[in-house]
Amino acid sequence: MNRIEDLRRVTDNTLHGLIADDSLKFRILQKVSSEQEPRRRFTFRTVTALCGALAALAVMVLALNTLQPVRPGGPGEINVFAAGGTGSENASLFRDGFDPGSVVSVELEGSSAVTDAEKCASLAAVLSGTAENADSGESSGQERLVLKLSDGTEFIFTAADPYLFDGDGQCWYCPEFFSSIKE
Amino acid sequence: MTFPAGSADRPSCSLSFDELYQNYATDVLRVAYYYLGNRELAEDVTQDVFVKLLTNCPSLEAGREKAWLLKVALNRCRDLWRSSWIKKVVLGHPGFECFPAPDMIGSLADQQTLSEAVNRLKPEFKEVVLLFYYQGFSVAEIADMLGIAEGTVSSRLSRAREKLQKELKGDEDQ
Repeated sequence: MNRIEDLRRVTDNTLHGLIADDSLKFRILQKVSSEQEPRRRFTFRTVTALCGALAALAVMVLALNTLQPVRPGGPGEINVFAAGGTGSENASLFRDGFDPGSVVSVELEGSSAVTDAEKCASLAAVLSGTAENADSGESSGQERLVLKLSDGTEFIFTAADPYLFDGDGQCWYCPEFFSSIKE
Repeated sequence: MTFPAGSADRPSCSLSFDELYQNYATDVLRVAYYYLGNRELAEDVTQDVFVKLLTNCPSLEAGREKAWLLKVALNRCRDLWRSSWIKKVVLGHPGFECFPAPDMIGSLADQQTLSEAVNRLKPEFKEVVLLFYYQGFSVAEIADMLGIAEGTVSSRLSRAREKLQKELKGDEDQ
């Protein structure tokens, strides 16, 4: 009688013909090959998609950084500024300040237009120095105040003496400016 | 057909795929056959084990390659055994067929009885018997491979021996 301790020898005899041959090895390599092909395709597609997304993102960032602000078309319209950019045209006049000396014309439509450099600088200095933020004010005025800078930038406000309304929808109280421009 | 470049050297161990297959594939195949009693399924298990070896590239310690291969094989066998479809449809009446060498046919009755008795053991006993008596692993190694306590391995071996003795004695009496 065979004992369990003889299992190795017994198995070698009873399962002598059960061996892992070359056909099984071929099946294994074939399966590995077939599994790796879709994986390679998937990797290629994923990398391509990621590169595409990154390129699109780069184009968007580039575009946003070169956009110019959209100018208001008429009285009462607010200034719309695109994101990004480095020019002063992207800033609100009162929020970021500006150089009064760079103003080349100040025109209160229907009332007066000033193009004298000295007078323009003086008016701009009054505007930036005395205007106070106001909580309320009537925005029903039909006049436009247009400030042109030497670089071509324009700042447009809706005017209703003694208030100005800027592109951000802010209301500014500046009676000194209106007095000065009407002198 | 062309195979993936370098496929024969994929496993991160000192042996190449060819050497691992040459040395251990038959052991994996026979253990799976003992477990499942079905040659086609045993070949499928062997295929799965070596495909996993090539695709996952596990870090195999030198001298532990066979343990890894058999551990993966037994896990796969266990999964198949638990599948009700496999149990009911494929292995409903497993008949343990022997594959003797031509010159041994007719002189294997006793040995075939032992192999059949091992095949009839419950999976938890069959695993430890195959690893201990057929593959020559120690109790500690088997405990590590199967993730069970050494005491459990010893206890299962002891109970498996008793069952085998009863079975073999019963066959002898008949």
